[in-house]
Amino acid sequence: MEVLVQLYTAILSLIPFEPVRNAINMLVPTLAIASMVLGIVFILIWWERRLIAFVQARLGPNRLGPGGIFQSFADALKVMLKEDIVTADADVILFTIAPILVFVPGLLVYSLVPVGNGMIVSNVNVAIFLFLAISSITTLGILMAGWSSNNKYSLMGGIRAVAQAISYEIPLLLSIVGVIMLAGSLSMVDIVQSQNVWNIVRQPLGFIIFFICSLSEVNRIPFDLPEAESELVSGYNTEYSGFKFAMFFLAEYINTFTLGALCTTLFFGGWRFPFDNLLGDIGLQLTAQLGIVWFILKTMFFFSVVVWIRGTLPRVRTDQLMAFAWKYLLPAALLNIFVTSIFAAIGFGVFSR
Amino acid sequence: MQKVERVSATGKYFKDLFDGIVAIYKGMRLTFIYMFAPKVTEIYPDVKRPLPQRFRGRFAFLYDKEDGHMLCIGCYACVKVCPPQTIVLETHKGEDKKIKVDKYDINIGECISCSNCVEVCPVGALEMTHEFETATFEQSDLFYDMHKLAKYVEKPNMYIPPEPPKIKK
Ligand code: SF4
Ligand code: SF4
Repeated sequence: MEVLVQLYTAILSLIPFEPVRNAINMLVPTLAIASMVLGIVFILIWWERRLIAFVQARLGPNRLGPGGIFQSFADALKVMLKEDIVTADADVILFTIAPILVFVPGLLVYSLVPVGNGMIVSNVNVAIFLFLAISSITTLGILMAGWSSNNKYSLMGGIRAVAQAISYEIPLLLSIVGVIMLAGSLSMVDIVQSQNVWNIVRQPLGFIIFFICSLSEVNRIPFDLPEAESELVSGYNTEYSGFKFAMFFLAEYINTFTLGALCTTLFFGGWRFPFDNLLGDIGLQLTAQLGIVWFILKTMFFFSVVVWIRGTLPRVRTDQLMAFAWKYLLPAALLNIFVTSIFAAIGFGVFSR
Repeated sequence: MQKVERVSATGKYFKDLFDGIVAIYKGMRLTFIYMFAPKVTEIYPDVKRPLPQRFRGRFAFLYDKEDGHMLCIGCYACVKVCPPQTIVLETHKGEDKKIKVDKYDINIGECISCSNCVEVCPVGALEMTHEFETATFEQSDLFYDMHKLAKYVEKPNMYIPPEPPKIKK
């Protein structure tokens, strides 16, 4: 994989004109990562349906292509051919913007995630803050969709999404503070490079809080109140059809993949091969050459865990959701910061930098 | 008198937390086991499961295999007994004063596969087959005449119901 990066750099240096070179250097990696993510999403949809079927002792889609892997392409094609319906008295402008506002931030955050050794679109030094800031725009899009649909179920879904996001954003941010403290940097690349011992060993509580909160942020099943099928028809996207609905649908999977990517980057050593610094030269070579493979494998693992949770847990009630965030997660996150900062200050064992 | 157990607020807080973790652990373990359990789905068009012996699908209109004569004697019993009245039978008296069957049509879309016609037939001229995939694209394809319903059998005899499956104790 490093060969690819080197090749790309070599070709880039042939271009004489500085502004042109910069423009191309922005465009190519962005397109590469965006198309990679969109390609993966199609596989994710199929994989989720298969896995959830396995949990329920079914087989899931298995007719189209090997193991049914082309099923999601067929579904995408079907959804694009459908009529694009706008409700009567809908706020047409907001109604149109909303799916874009949900979809684009989901893709945009991938410019901040290092998917391999040196494979990052922009290595911002406040990457985590930027990441959380961009991804919280999604909630606004959901509220917009709920409001503009002129439908009580949609509005209810939108309101729930905002209430949930406000409650869960706080423990989410606090749970990352421990990681930032240990790495001494907000840059994702620095965080990955600081993990000679994976952060899960140093921050188990932080990881659990982070995982639960991000499940809630991407509205996956125990916390899927904004689109609770049994209560709100389909929640904020009830009135959407055709391509706009497809954007909501894809955004949900992209966000779930982002959840996995963030868990991998912050707590499971990003693109690094397990124990690469202990394995010596082989480990370092595996990390350097095949970084993207480890990254995708780890992320897929977390995606599978999310699906597994979906197959197990029922949806929580709104009051339980709020009580859980404020009564359990927030104190636990504060405790985590407290303990981590003491250990980091003493420089105890694996906590030493 | 029921004994009321008093738990302090702090105790309840940690008990709830512990109970929640245990419940989630149990659920997650169960679903993990089910992920690798044998699946119940039948891969229908590729693998068909064996039908029971007395399965009632579309019925067949029997002919003798040796000389090809139809077994039906045109007695109209099946026409009368058919609940949705879907059998259309037309006969005429031949020169040898025997009844000849001109037409024996049914609409398979109306037939409810009740097997009344098979059981009432005095000569055993009808039989229930195991064919059940009778869906068509055209409504007109649902009309079956006696050639489409034909089935040639050796040694035709009276209808004898097959033995019911033995129930094991
Ligand atoms: S099986 Fe029942 S419904 Fe069908 S033709 Fe015979 S008597 Fe009529
Ligand atoms: S009951 Fe049997 S013999 Fe009589 S008309 Fe029907 S098929 Fe023919």
